[in-house]
Amino acid sequence: MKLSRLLAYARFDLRLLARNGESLLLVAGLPLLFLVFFSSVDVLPTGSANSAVNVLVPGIMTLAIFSTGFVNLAISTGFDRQYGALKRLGASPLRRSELVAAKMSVVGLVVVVQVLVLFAVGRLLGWDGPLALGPFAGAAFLGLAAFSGAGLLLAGRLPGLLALAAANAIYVVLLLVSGLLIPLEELPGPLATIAKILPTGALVQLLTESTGGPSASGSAWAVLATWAVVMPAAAARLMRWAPNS
Amino acid sequence: MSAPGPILAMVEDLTIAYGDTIAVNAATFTVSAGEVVALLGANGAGKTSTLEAIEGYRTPTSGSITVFGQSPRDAIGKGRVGVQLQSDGLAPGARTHEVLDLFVRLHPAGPSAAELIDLLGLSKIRGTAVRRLSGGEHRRLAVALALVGTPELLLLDEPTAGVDADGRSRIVDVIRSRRDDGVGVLLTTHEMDLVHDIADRVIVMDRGQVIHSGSLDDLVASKPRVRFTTEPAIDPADLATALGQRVHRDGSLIVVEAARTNELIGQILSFCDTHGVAVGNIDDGSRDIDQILRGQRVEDSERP
Repeated sequence: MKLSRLLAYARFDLRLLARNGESLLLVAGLPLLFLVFFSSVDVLPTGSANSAVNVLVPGIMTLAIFSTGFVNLAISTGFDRQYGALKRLGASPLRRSELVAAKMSVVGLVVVVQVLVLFAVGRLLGWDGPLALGPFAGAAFLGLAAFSGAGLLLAGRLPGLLALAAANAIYVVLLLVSGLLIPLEELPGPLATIAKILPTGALVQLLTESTGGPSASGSAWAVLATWAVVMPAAAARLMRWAPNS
Repeated sequence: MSAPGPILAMVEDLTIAYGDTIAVNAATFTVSAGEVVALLGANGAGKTSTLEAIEGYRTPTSGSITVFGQSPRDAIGKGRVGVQLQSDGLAPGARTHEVLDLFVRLHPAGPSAAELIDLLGLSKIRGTAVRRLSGGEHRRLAVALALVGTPELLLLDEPTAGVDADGRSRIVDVIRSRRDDGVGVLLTTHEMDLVHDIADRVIVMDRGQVIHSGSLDDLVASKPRVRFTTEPAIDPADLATALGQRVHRDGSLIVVEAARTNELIGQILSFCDTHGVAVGNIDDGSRDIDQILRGQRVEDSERP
């Protein structure tokens, strides 16, 4: 992997993102909207021990990382591939692993901004939990790697429209069943068990713990780290520069 | 042109199938250093599939391709191959100089973005977003991208399609210049003027097969024929049966794919006389490559 190529593409991608960020605004704005709405309207089973915002903050943080890292990246890269942008890049010395790393870096910058905004808004809404910065940042990094790897794998294997449909379907399902909005302990037993081995479920547990909530299950770090290694590696190896190639 | 140098790309028995459709059928040819090879054929002849396989985007169903003795993807990864895609795939929101800057940075050496902008006459659209470029400007930018780095082999898919006279002239000059520097060039085109201008060798594909590989002169010489008009029109299939030769219609002309001999002319006149048809404008004058390619697609019903 050559750092200069990675940085060249990341800079280019970031510039285009800043210029055409409407879709990103929507994806990044939704978690903020959810945080404000569900903190104000008592419709979710957030339990009685904590205020709603204390339960919601780690879930919404996970949702933000998931939305930006997975959904936004899968859709935008899927369309890049559909109109031939990846094919054009494939005719240069840029390696797939460098493309994956560059796109993950750009998404990482966006997520940092998102998380800072969500923390600030959470405080305004009354979130009063402590923050273990090291574990929080570590878990967020692993989550980002897992989600963006999965998003790039999806985009690198499916046609643009199919990638869009699949990303949205996965988003909706995981939104409901992996502890993002509804705490894991409120889910039916088998569903909660499945949720704990998904990257979203593992991340929400670790972020909850690092923001003063209940302890994560012992396997959460291992689960998330596994996803964080496997998904980017699979994307770098299996994604195709062009449909039908 | 001096004698071509070492072989850069070797295509051996290449077959590409999409389901039951055979797009390329046992194609074999080479591209050497210091030559411009034009890959010709009608739409659907298999040119782009072949080119994409050499670029590493299509996996051969059978056969093999080596570029600089390696797999195509390895050769491209080392920056030894410059590629101009038919559909350029440029980010619509990026500006011309940004696209060139990116690709220049992805290569270890070679001309700067400013040099390429100057070379292809892109200075007026330097700051223009890709989405606002005309078709010809897109194509010029795509050719500029193929020249980024120091490619030893250029793969160009219709490099002058839709390009204006100035752009075409620049692209032709660049291809000649690179060829003279020892770069091998494989291009597809439907523009026969371009073939006449720069091709050292032509490879003609028809329905996935290579049906000719050699110089343009050889191709023209290999296709003797006699052309004439009739009044009223005749069915080429009837004449083909009578002569035992391939016969087809080319506009108002009847074309017999055979060398002109007194015996053949006598047979044609006899056939027309028998059918009460007047014959005019018999000729065997030089035929251009365009006519040869059109002649390849004779319907089976017109064959003897």
